[in-house]
Amino acid sequence: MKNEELNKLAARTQNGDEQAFGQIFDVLSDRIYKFLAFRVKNPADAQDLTSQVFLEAWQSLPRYNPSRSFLPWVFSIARYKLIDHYRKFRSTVSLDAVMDLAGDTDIQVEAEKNADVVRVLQALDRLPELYQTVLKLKFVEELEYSEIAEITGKTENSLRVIVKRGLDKLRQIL
Amino acid sequence: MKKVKFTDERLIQLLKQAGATFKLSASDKGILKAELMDVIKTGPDRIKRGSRKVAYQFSRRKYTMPLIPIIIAALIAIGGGTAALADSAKPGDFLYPVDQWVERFQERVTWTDEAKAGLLARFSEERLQELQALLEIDPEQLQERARERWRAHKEMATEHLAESVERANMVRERFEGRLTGVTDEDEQVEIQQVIDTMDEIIARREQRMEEVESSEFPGAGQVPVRQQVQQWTRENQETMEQVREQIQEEFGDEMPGFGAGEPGQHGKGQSSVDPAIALLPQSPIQLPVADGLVEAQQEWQKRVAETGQQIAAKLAEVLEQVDPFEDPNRLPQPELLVEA
Repeated sequence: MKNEELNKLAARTQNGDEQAFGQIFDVLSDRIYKFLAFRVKNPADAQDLTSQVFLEAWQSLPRYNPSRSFLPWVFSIARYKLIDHYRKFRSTVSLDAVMDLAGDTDIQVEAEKNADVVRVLQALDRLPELYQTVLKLKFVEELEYSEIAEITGKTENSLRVIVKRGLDKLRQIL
Repeated sequence: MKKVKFTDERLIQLLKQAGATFKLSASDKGILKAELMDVIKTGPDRIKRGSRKVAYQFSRRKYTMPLIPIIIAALIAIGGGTAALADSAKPGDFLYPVDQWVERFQERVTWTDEAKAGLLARFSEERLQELQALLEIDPEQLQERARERWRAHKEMATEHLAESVERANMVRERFEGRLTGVTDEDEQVEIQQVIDTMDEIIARREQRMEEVESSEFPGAGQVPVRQQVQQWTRENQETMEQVREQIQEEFGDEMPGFGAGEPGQHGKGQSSVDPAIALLPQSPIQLPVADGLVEAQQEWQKRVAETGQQIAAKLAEVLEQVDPFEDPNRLPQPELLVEA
């Protein structure tokens, strides 16, 4: 779905259209879940956070400015939820948790197929939060720099520097 | 084992592969949606435009908000860990200026005479330990030691900066999160000021981190701070010894503190040893001279000898002016020497 269509759905949801909000969930829940699970590495936590993100989006939509893109707005909420989650549970999340992912994600099978993926995930965990977020949004979510700029509040030039330095840091850790 | 080279393309590919492993199953997605829609139907409060609830909560902190970036910056800048590490730094070390700064700060905030005396005594002990540590270093190993320390300090500095950037980012993001929930323009301006300040702090630290990361070992030409200190220490001791010998040679037993008797026996029962002269070492200290410093040492000795002769001449001149009826063991006062 294109951003313009999403924006229209968001405008309808602003006025209380639950069906439109359901469509937004259908379209974006996978991407939001992936963004969250990438960091928390625990499917249950990621699902819980996904619910929280959409609930907050529903509650905050009256404040959403329709002239701006909806997608970065939702990712902003997801990012703050993630930061809050880590502030509360920082000490309870282990890097090794990536190997404990089970159930529908099949991460263990995938990890065995490609150990480098696990190494990259572990290396990514060692980067500052901003670097992790930018790399994920750029290469996993494949968002444009302009969209990431809206989410992070950084300029596009600054984001290009962060991406380059983030990749350099990953390489150093690996 | 062949080492895999992680090019940018390879890293991006791995990130994408990693992302593909996190999938929300259709069943889970269905359950999540059903739960969410149920909650929405129960009518949770939606935040309205111009909501005063959030604004009121924030306004209670209105007067403390402008101070927050300053406090944060101070905490990041001072950093207890850095100060603790700096405490063991020696002259020439990366953190030695921090050590000195912390000492000056401690001295200023210590009020009572007793506490200040104790603090200064501790600082004196630290100076002696630093001096001892410097003397124990073999000049030939200085380069390698300097390189090792430089590398360790570089890593430590990078790590500290990265942590401070992350902390500053976290703070910034919290305020940014609040900004989305505030509709009052004044409050928005205040929060935005905090965010802008944090941006400046983050930018400065990121720039500094880049500078530190890209810095190279300065090499032999800019490292010999310790060598220099060693040399100064030797010169200082040699100078004192030379001056002492010169004075003794010129005045012999006439000078208190240098005669056959013990110090303090001159001056008809009163202690006539000049405290400054009493501090001079009583025996020459034999220290190894580093390669390349022999000529410098000889030159310095020559200068010291000349200085000693000049001092001796001045002393003789002053002594001639002393009243012959005065105590012959009376020393010329330091201020006379200065005036002369």
